[in-house]
Order: sequence, then structure tokens, then C-alpha cells
Amino acid sequence: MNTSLIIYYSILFFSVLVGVYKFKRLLLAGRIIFYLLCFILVKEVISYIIALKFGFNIWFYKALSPIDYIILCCIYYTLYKAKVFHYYVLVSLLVILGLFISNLSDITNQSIDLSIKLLKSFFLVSFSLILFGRIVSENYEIRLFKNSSVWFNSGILIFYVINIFFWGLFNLPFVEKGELAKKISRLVFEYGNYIMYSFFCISLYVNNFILYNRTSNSNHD
Amino acid sequence: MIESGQIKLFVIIALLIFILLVIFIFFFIVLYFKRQLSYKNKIYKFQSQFAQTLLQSQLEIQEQTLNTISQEIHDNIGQVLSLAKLNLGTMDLQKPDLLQQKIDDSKVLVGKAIQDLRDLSRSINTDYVQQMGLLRAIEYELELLSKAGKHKTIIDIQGAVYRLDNQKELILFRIVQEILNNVIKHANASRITVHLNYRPELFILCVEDNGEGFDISLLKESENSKFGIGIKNMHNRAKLIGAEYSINSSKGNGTQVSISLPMILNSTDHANN
Repeated sequence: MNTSLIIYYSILFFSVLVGVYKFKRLLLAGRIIFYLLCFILVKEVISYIIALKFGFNIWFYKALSPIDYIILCCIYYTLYKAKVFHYYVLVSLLVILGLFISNLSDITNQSIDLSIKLLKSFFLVSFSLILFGRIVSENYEIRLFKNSSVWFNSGILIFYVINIFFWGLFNLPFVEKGELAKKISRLVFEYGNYIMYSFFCISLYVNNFILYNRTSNSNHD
Repeated sequence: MIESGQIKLFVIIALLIFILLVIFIFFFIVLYFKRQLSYKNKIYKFQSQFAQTLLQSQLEIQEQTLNTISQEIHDNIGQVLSLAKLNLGTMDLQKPDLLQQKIDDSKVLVGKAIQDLRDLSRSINTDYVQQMGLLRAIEYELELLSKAGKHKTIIDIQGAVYRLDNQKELILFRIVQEILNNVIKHANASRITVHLNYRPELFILCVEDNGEGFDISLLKESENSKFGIGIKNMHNRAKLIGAEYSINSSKGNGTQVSISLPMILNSTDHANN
């Protein structure tokens, strides 16, 4: 197991521990983030074991790829209560699930579903920007860094912008050929993972999820 | 060579994306803090405005209380004591049968003056109102009124009685006193009814009289007159404690003044857990 994997698993494990410690006091959105972290940790451990046994694990990632998107949609659904936003989240979910089902026959194929990856990233970046827009327009009595929604949203924004960059450029011919470019992009992707899960961990630790509405003042714990 | 150029491009794009992200987050934080600051300023302004209004109201109440004391001393206690003095001054030691009568009359008059002073003291004493509670203070005020014999007073209580906080009770009581004063002075009423409705979520106080009433439209026209200012003051005081003040009247049909104060329930609805 290399260092980057150890750091990655440690962050995930520590985040889950924070979630367990705070679980009773967590709001629904926080609890879903905790479930997501548990799911990711278990998924990563299993995928590591599969990779050790069979030498490849892309099919496993592909098979589970809609689940983390569904969980993330649930989190955004609970964080921002606005009809139009909810419709947008549901439509994006249908699009991703539709694409997943249509590509189901290629699940054993070793190639990555670039369209699903990019579309997922695009939707999540847009959710994050919409929520940032809402955050900046109300609830100023709460300190910005004491708002779990801000931490969670920042993690998503940073990671999925990196994702678009990574998956968007990784398969380009010059990157395919260039080992250095590959290394750089992998490094960026790894750090993106660290940042996102660390931010999720902070959001659970801060445990002050502000729930936003379309018009009225927000609720908070 | 081609690869190194392409890697450069790759790194530049990565850097650009990174810089854009940093700019976005920086811009977001600055914008949020800027808005937070202006929000805090607004809150501060609102609080100081509220404190100023509260102070102004307290001064008004104080001034009104002093006026009431002065009027009460002049109209009642002063008159009674003058009468007692007159009685004592016209005593004739040569007529012992009349002398006893005058002494007895003077005793009654001095006793009345003492009672009036006691009533006045109770009526204006803030601590006393807060100790007795709003309901008892209003009952006492109505008892005094009915004792004077000019008005029949009724108190109607609905719901389980609860106490409001001291400040609110005091302000409500002062409003009731002002309403009753207005009824005595202007309404020419024979009956005054006070309805107190203790709902869990709302407290409603309504003072009703069967007097002459007045054209409510005159109220808007006479906003600057003493008549309008008195009502505006009561309205402001009600607003100060978060209550709604409404007045309803028409010529020949008496007047109805109502104050509804929403009760703050213990909020357990933390977000949507």
C-alpha cells in the first residue's frame, strides 16, 4: 500500500470516527454525509482487496458509481429547500441513472465512463454554485467557517472542478502519451480527494448545518 | 519537444483552474463578510433605535404618571383636605353640638384623603403592579372606578391565566390606565368591560365601553392633535412589546380598544431533522 493510499484511507477513517462521535447530534444532512463516508470507506477497502486479487477493479467502481451520486443528491436535496432546485436535482439524477443503465452492458469493460464522470461533476459543481449563491444571500448571523454547509459545499466544489479537469484532460492523446502529465493529473486528483474528505470531516465536526429555503430565513441547529 | 510544450499547456490549464477556484472562494468569503458586516450594522442600528424608543416610552409613561398624580392631588385629595380645613376653620367652640358634627365630618374627610392617597400610590407604584400581576392590577383599577360610582365595571377572563414578563405587564397596565382615563374623560360611558383572553399562543386584552364613541376617520385627520398623539403613544407602546393595537369605534356605539400579544412558544423545531 503506497503513502497516498494510506493518507486517503486515514482521512476517510478519521472522518467516519468524527461522524460516529457526533452522530446523535447530527441533522439529517450531516447523517447522510456520515453514511456517504461510511459507504466510500467500505467501497475503497473492497476495491483495494479486489485490485489485489484480480489486478483490476474498474468494474467495481463503475457498478457503484450511481450510489454516491444518489447520496450526494440527497444531501443537496435536504440542504436547500427550493422547488426548482429539487426538480433540477431529480432531473440530474434521472439523467445519470439513465446513462448508467444504458452503459450497463459495458460494465466489465476496462475503460472509464467519461461521459457519466463529467456529467456528474458538472451537475455537482452547479449544485455547489447554486448553494453558494444562496449562502451568500442570507443568514449572516452565523460565522462562515462555523457553517457545515459551507465546508461540505467547498469540498464538493474543489473536488469536482478538479474532477472535470482530471477526467476532461486525462484521456487526451498528449496526456496519454506523457507520463509526467499523467503523474501531475493523478497528484491533483489525489489532493482533490484529500481536500474533499477533510472538508466533509470538518463539516461533521463543526456540526452546524444551515438548511436554506428559497425565500425565508434559514434554519440551523 | 512536442510533449514538453503540451505538458506546459497542461500545467497552465491546471494552474488556471486552480487560480479560478481560489479567486472564487476568496470572492465568496469577502462578499459574505461584507454582507455580514452590513447586516451587523443594521442589527446594531435597530437595537439602538429600539432602546431609544423604549427610553422615550418610559419617559412618556413617567410624565403621564406625574400628570396623573398632580391631577389626582388637585382634583381629589386637595379638594377633600380643603374641605376638611374649612370644616376645622369654621368650628365654633360656643356650639358644642355642631362642634362634634364638624369633627366627625373632618375625620371622614381626612380618612377619605388617606384612602385616596393610598389608592393613588398603589396605582402608580411599578413594584406593586409587578407584584400583583396584570390581572389583579386591572381588577384593582376597575374596583376603584366602580367605587367612584359613575361607571359599572365588568371583567371577563377566558382561558387559563398566566403571567407575562414584568416589563410587558407594566406596559400593558399603563395602556389600560390610559384607555380608562380616556373613557372617564371623553366617553361619557356608564359601563366599562375589560376582556382578557389567555390563549396559549396569544394574549388578547380588550377594553370596551358603552359611551358616545367617535368617528374613527377623525383619528387619521387629527394625528397631530393631543387626541391623536395619545392614541399613537399607546400604539407605539404596544408595538414596543411586540403587540398589535387596534381601535374600533363609531358615533353612539361606544369604543373598543384591543391589544393582542403573541406568546413566544418554546421552539423545538430545530431544522428538519
